[in-house]
Amino acid sequence: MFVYGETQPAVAARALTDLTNSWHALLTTLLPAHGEPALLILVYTLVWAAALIAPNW
Amino acid sequence: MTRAAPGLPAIAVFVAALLLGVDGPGSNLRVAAALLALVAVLSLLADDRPPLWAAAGVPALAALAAVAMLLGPLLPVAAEPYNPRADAVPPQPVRFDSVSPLDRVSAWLRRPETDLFTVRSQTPLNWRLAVLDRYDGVRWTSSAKFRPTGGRVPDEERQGRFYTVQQTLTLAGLRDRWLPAAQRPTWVAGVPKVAADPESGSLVATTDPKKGLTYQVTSRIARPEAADLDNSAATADPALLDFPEGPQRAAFARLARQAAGGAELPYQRAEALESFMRSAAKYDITAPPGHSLPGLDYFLRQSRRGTSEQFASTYALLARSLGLPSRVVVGFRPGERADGAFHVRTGDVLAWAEVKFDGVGWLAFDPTPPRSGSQDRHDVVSAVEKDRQRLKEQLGKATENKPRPKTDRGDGRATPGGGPAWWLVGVLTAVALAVCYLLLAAALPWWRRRRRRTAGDPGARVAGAWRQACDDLGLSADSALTAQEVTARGGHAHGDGPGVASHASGAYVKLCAIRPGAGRQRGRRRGVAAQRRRTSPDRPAHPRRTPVAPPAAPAQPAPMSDGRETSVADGMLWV
Repeated sequence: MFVYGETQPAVAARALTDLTNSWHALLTTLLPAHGEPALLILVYTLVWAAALIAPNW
Repeated sequence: MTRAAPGLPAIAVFVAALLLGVDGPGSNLRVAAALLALVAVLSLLADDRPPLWAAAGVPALAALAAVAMLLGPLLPVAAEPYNPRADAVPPQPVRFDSVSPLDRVSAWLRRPETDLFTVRSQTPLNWRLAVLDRYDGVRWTSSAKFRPTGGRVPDEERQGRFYTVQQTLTLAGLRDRWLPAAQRPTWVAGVPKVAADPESGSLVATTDPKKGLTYQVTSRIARPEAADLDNSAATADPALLDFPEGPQRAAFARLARQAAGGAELPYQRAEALESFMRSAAKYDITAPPGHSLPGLDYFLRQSRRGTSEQFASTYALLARSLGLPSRVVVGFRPGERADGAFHVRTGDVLAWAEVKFDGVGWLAFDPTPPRSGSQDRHDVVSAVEKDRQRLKEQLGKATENKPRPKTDRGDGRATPGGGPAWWLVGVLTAVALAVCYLLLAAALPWWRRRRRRTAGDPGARVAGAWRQACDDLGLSADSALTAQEVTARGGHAHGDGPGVASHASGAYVKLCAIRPGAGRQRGRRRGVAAQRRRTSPDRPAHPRRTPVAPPAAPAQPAPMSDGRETSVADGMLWV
């Protein structure tokens, strides 16, 4: 609702359509930042550290 | 399961990010190798495995990652990695430019007091609305390929010096999809749906903007130095040099060459053209609108009255005639400053031209003469215009001090490579070859004589002396002559007389001379001395029946360099 600014029932269908088209929008939109996977280093390092200290599955 | 399992989602996200970032700058190879190596380390760790397992595995994995990192760039796929964006067709923009902004210039100028938008900026600049880079003989249109943007406007081609300007724009009466911003935007925020052309940086709203829309734009303003333009050629892009066929083409080209005069640098030619246009016609907002090729021809050669629509269009075409890639831009002057903002009205509309230079990018040229009367008393001069003045002074000083043979064959295009002309290289090569030939011709006899004198083997030295004597007498072609024959032929060639035999024997003796210090060859010196006495000029020269006393040394025949043998025996020299 915050995204579309309205609360009619049609919003749900519209959201579903946008969601299915999101991959296309992602590929055709100029992203706000350059595509640099290096930006994921922090997140990735945290995941790795959590896996290191977690008990074995 | 190992401890690596929690890292698998992160790997998936990382791979997706890699695919989306294929067209980004730099290389992610090191980061990817490090992260994968770390996951592999996790896979080694398990409570039921001995510590030695990890101790041996970690170095092995590190080595494996290092090898992968070194070999990765060598793989064929590394040259052109798969880019999923290349397969995605961007949404086609809704047609919004049925009326070109250039067509509205005259209409806006006739109603100059309508507020269009307000700009809050530290720097006064011309606010660009639309970029038109294609001309079909009737209209200037845009070839922009707009793409929805999340705010970033790619600007990879930007080179050279620049500074950044932040602007906050609020639309008032401007009801246009084109969004004004200073050249060239790199970031836009505040517009719900905005698209940008990566090539020109033009911004458009994908839906009609509402009145009062406020958005922020960050722009990079080019600030070239004289040194940048000193070495800059006009970028040769055929699409930006296109000039429609027609009878006006030759006339425009002739006029452009006259206007450029003796300017050498592409930038100076563009400036000369700008000065020409400012003085070629008068600014008149009552002039008929339109920028078709016949209309511009009439404007340039007959009416000589027009608005910036005609001035900018004509300038761009004249620049193309000179080989300068150009385009027309529609925008606004900085406007009137009040309350810390620039208020832009319809009367501030302006069309100008831009020319592209290698290593610098697009630079603006304003061929429209200044407005006269009370209308321009509040005009704020654009910061770019001030930069132009500074640049002009710098270039003026630079060109006074040194000649610039770099460009020109009359069409404004730079000589590729900037090296000397091919004919100059050819002439220099021929001269160098001739000098080498003369030096060789002068040095070869000296070198041959020296080699014959300094031969280690006495027999070879004697034979060399004979050959040298024959050479001196001009008998080098006949190498198997006896002394009598040499004297006879030499006398025939040089005239009979004592001089021939004297010359032959003198040269022979001189060349047979033993170098000082060779004590063991004293006997040879005696032989030579005896020979000198016999061949002295004060003795009568006659065909000698008595053989020449041979040098003492070789009793055995000595091989010659050409395989024949030289024999010195019984006072006769046989060659």
